[in-house]
Amino acid sequence: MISYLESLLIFTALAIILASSLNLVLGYGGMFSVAHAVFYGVGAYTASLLALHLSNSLVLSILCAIITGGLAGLLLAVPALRVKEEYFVVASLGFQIIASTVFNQWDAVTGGIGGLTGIPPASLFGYEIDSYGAHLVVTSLLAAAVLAIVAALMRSSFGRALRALRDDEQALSSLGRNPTHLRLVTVALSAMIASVAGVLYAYFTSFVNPESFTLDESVMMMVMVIIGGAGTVWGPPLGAAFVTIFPALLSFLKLPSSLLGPVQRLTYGVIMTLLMIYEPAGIVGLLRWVRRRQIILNGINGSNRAAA
Amino acid sequence: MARTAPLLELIGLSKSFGGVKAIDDLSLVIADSGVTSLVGPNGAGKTTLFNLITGFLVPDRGRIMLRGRDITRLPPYKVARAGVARTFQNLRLFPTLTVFENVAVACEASDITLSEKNVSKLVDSTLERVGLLARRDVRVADLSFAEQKFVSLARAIVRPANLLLLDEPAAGLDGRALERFHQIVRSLAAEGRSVLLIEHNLDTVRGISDSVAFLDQGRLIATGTPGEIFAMEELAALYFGDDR
Amino acid sequence: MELLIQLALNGLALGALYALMAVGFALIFGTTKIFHFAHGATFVLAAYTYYAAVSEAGLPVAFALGLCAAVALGFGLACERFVYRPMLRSESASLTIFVASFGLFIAAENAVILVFGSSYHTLESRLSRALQLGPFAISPVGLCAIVASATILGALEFFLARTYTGAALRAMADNPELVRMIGLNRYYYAKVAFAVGSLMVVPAAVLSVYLSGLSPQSGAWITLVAIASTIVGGVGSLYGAALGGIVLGVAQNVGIWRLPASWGEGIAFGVLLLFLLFRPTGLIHVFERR
Repeated sequence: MISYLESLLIFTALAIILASSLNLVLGYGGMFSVAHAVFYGVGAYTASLLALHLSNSLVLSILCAIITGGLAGLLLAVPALRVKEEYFVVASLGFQIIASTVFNQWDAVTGGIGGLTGIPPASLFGYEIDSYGAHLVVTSLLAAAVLAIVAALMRSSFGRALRALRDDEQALSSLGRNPTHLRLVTVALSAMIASVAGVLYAYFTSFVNPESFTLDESVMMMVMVIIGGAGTVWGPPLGAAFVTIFPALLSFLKLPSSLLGPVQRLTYGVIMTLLMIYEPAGIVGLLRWVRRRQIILNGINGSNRAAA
Repeated sequence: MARTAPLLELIGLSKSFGGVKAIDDLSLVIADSGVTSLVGPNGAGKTTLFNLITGFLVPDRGRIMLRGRDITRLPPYKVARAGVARTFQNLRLFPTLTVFENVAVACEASDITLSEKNVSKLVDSTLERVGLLARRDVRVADLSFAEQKFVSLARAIVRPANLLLLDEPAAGLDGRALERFHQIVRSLAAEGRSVLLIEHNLDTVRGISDSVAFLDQGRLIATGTPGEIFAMEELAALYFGDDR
Repeated sequence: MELLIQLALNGLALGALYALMAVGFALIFGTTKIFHFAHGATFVLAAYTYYAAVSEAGLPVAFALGLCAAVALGFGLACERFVYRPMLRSESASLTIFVASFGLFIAAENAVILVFGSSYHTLESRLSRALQLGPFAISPVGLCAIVASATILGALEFFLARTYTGAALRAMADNPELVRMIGLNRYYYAKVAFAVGSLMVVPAAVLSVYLSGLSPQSGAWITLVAIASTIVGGVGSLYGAALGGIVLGVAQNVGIWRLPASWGEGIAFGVLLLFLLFRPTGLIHVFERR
């Protein structure tokens, strides 16, 4: 039971890293990407190959994954940024499908459908990370670091420009900023962070196969960002926690296991549509609304008391 | 030789939209410093001209030279980096950013990267100049219209751009605000910058311009000092129609 | 070489179906500016309705076709009325509308999985058996797809070029402001665009049940193809969308000439990315009007 809870928390932490990094592209950059699982996968395969053939150093794995993940990000962004707005989603979908095909078919490197197995535990400063507890600590620390980095980034001059880009692209370009360049950097950065999650995933599960990096996974990451609140710092981690923990709660309903997945996704789809109609800022938007209401109610109570 | 090239030279510019000529074989030279007002009736092509110069539109014919360098087909961000700054008629600020952030975004756009401390210093001094330092950390969406106009002005002048294109910067300003605006524009010219502005208020035009260019139906009808232009009967007739 | 031509022929039949989906999507997007991702959900719902009516309820084909058309029309119009229209009224950002559409798509796909399961279904008919044309084989269903697609696209062309409603739709695509100014009700014409676009799904859905079989996931694929076709063909052009659909259908089949069949989908999207890199304006270049 403890290990179940620990693994649930580890997956939540991974989801937080993935959702926060996707938020850079989707929430702040205004680019609708459904290829994020590709970068997760690139990170995971990079770490696995490294650990199987060269070194299981966590630091080295993360550095290499950042490089390969960033390159994969550019591979998506360079063609995809030639079309505007909504069409980015199709380019990213195309990219996801091509990447899935490669993960499945390039047997020599990815091990094909069977994937790569027997990945040794990672080592960090001479310690082996081989217990659930150790994984939980490392993953949580990195998730916290990613949240801090994203928050700092959005306060920096880069984040300022990115928010300005979302507000008015033409005005920004009239100030001498190259919008395409800004988006390119955003996608690459986001891919780098996602690939770090991939490294942690590979070492935690000790095997990787294409199943974990499919279009469905990408869509789930997007659902996390949207439900939590795109373009906010706290929305994506909230959404990530919700999407990871909700199925565990759903399992108490004692539904047949074949129905669990569809029921979950049906719920997400309905929630997404309703949120977009009534509260596009997601859970964070709902929380803000509750707080505003409380302030107003307090205000009314206060003035009533004053009147009495 | 490049030294002698004028700051901005428009050579035979034409642009039409679906058969309607917005700019028609227009040539104009803008001096190194001073204030030039573009006047003319609505639909004369003034804003289209700004969009052509700043790279938002590509002319059908003609060339745009900045200090002897052809900038005709450069994308907007490259034109901006070449030393052209502009404002928009409908302001186009970044509503979710604060006043400070709106201006800061503009001063990081140049090739020279500034440290956050220097950005902060530069932005604050510019905000002081336009009288908005006290509103530094307010979201732009929460400002009054006049305040927003000064943010857009600050955004345009914060960088060391030699050519400033201001699209109806004084419209909607009155009293103290208008006076402040006049003073800022004059001081920009005194710094050796060249200001090209679209203006409808003829008192403003008379008050701050060194020269006036009169546009009608995409053509340059006349150029001269404000005194010369306003003395021309036929231009007044064009501008005011039969109302006068 | 014969194999190549055979593959191209198969691709043409598939491409004809893609073209129908693509043109329906492009019509809706062009006139309403709504990125109707749930267009693929219309496809899945229509196809499963037809499949269930014929194979599980044993209804006559004509009746099943009518039911299928009713479902497609009903779903498309419901999307417009209950999701997009309120969002347009409150001036939602286009990305927000797109996400809502995406949510609808996910919900519909999984509703179908809950009812029918996620396995693969197909229908056999006398028309599925291949006809021998010299060295080549083509099934009557494939031929049907090509003929149906050409007929429907021709009818659409007539509708847009010759009728008052069609002219209003074209005006909406070219200049939405003007349409509002001359007092045309944009919601009425949005409804027409959704009705026509959704009905065009019906032949594609029904024929694909015979031609390639049916699974709930096929909706995602078909939506992708529809949207990708509009890019390959050139955004803003209905002819372009049709042509793009055919190009992708042929690429998907011809691409596996020298590669394993499982690469087909990857190749179709490789074509898309190549277009984005080298010809982002598409096959038919349309001047953007500003």
